[in-house]
Amino acid sequence: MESMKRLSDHLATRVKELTRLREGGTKLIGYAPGGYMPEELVYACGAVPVGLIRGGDPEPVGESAAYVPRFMDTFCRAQIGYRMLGEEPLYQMLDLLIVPVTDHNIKTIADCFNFFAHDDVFRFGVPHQKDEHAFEYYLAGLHALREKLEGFTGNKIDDAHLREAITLCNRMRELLKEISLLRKSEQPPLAGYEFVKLNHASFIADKAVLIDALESVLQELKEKPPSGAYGPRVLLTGSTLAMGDYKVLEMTEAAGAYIVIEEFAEGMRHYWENVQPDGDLMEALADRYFRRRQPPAWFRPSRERLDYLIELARDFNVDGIIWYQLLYRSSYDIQSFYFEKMVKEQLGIPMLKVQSDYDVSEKGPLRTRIETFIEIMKAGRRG
Amino acid sequence: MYTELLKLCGFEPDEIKRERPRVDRAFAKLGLDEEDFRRGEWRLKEYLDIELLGLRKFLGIWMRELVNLVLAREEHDKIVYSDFPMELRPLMSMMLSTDEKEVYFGVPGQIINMTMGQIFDKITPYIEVGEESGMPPGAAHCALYQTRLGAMVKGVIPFPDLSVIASYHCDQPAEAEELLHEVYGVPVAYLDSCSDPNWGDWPKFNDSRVRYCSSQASRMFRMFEEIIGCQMTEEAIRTANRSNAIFRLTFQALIELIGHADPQPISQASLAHAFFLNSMPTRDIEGKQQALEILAEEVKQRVERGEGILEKGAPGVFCTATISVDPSITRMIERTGLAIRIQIPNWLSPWVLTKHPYREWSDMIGVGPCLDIPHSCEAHCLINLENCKAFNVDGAINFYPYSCREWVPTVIITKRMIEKELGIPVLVLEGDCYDTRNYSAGQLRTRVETFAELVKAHKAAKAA
Ligand code: SF4
Repeated sequence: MESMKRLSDHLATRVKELTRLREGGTKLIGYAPGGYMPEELVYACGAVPVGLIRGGDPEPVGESAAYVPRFMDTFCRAQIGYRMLGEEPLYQMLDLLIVPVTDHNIKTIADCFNFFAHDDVFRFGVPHQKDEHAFEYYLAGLHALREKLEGFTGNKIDDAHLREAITLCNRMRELLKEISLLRKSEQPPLAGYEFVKLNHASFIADKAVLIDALESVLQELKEKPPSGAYGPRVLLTGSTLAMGDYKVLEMTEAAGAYIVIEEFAEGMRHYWENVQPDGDLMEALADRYFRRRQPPAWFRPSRERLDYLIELARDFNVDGIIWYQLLYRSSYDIQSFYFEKMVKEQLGIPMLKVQSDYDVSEKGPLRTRIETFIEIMKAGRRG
Repeated sequence: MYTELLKLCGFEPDEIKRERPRVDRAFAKLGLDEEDFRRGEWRLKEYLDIELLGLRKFLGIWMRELVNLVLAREEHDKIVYSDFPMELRPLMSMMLSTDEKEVYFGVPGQIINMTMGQIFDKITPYIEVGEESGMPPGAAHCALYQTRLGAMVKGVIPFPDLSVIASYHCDQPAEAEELLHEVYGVPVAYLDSCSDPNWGDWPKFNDSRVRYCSSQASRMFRMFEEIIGCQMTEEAIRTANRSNAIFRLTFQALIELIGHADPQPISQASLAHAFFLNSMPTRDIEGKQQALEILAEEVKQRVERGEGILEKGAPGVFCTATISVDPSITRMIERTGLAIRIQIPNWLSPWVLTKHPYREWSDMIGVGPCLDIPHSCEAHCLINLENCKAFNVDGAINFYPYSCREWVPTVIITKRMIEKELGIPVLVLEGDCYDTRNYSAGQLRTRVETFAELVKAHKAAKAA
């Protein structure tokens, strides 16, 4: 697709462009991509947000061992490794890192960037449940973040700029959602792999370029004739789906199945909900990013997320679920134990749980397990 | 069969006689036999300063709690559980608001660790069942929570009517309790907070963090009252607060006495039995305080007589290995000739003891996570460093538990901080506070012995 090509050309030159912006005085604000950091605030103070979403490479994980013992989530160790290796330009050019503290794994990124790389890191808390006190706490965190950003950039965040940023981000989410929803059709016009790449681009690309590309992609997909392809439909869920960690997607789709919907705590941008810019804009952000955001596995009650997954599986008419977690993300490991039972009872479809430590040696066994799983789904369909 | 063992645990003959039917039932349920009792006796004599009456009294408290725990369903209408890292004050205030006969209140993970682990070396079967029941092996789940889950699933201890759990400080307890709730229908009340201070904030904390945790404390107390059918009382709160403060201050004085004494008067493995009572609710408040005072007096006398478990002048270390299931690693470190001046760090930093402005009970609970190690990773590392400074140690052993997501990030940061600021050697040792399968004293000995030589040489060079 022409528009996708345009977007990937843009990404290829993005580091250069960001370097130029930075030289011109624009601040680059990195953030942990768990879906709790409103990019709108960054845009509203004239800075540029960059999601730290690289993953899938074994070297940074190995490198991290000098800074943190191995019993941490793989993605989080990888972030520390990317920063300390010094080879990934985006990780070296940040003026400030924002870490919404969601769990201990994510918190460790902040601690290591602070202590070992001497970076400026700003944290704010994400409570693990959603009562009104939790909402207030999250909102207080956003206010503190706003203050930090204003002080850091020297630019006041006023309502006009914030509203403008909200409109921009809302449009991006709307487009991602519309594109994603096309996969509800019997013959999805784009592969899960392609959608994930679009989603990942949204963490790094210039928003205007991104929106322009997404509009074209949507148009092209709507006009695309049905492919005639028909394979098992898969819901892919788990802890983190990082940019570059495409092995499960590739193997699944190469074996003849379609990933028609994904749900991840980190790495995938959440696009179902938009900010409703009426009333107090800070509250509107907290409402979207905290209250209405589908919670990850460390939230309570855990039922909220699991019921949502069941609903997604029904809506997208899936034949099976792949649960992809990274090593030592304990919340996901424990939750999968009782979710599998729910899937069996409520949906009667199979679930495959796979795990990764971004190690190359995993690929062979992983491929075999995924291929077998897809055969089971195919047999289920025939039956 | 177990008379000798119970005597070592400070039981008087008439108590043994009176309690025999209960102890028989509990030990039968636990599957303890003659061989276990012999092993228990041997371990107490081998690893602890068992001649100290204060220590024997502490062992007695743990042993009675084990029996109470196992028989809880037979003897009480309602059962409430908690476990680390929940603070003691809220637990005590809830427990003391209930009728002793009606409600059993306990921390099963810790009780099983301190008895079935420390004394009998028989913890693994529980962990294995925990692993089969939703907390699988190889995923670095906390063995404390695997143990308590395993013990419930095995039917050795009952499922509770309510679990009250802290979801701050580390993520694992809440994750494990969600499993308990979803799979076994146990209601859970959580005490939540957010560990989000920025680097450089320690020891400052913000009011909104206190208020949020305070709101969760109120919620937890309400849920407790509803499910257990009782009312929190002012008197229970006062008693919990006072008894906790008195115990902690006495404990603080004792660890300072031990940490500054030369030679080291008792093993840190013995002190662990008092230390873990800092987070185990017991209705025997008087017995607990009395045990501590006896122990403190015994230690004082040893110090005055110049007696100790090591030679005078042994190099001193800070050591984070407080292993509740196994005293042998601490003893092995001491037997290499290193005096463990301070552990875990269980010496309370001056900030912890600082007065704060909060007076409402829920606010006082809410401020808890802001004052000590749970404040942040930075706080944890700096408190480690402060412990080293306060006891003027010659080296540090940074033992970190495999599986502990809270501890892991502090390991290398602490090492670098201590090395840089104090210029003393630091050994990082991987182990597990709650699971002995992968790490043993024998396996770690060579590294510790080499390190001990290094510390001795370092101390000698400094003195020269
Ligand atoms: S050992 Fe670590 S993981 Fe386990 S309860 Fe304690 S802090 Fe949490």
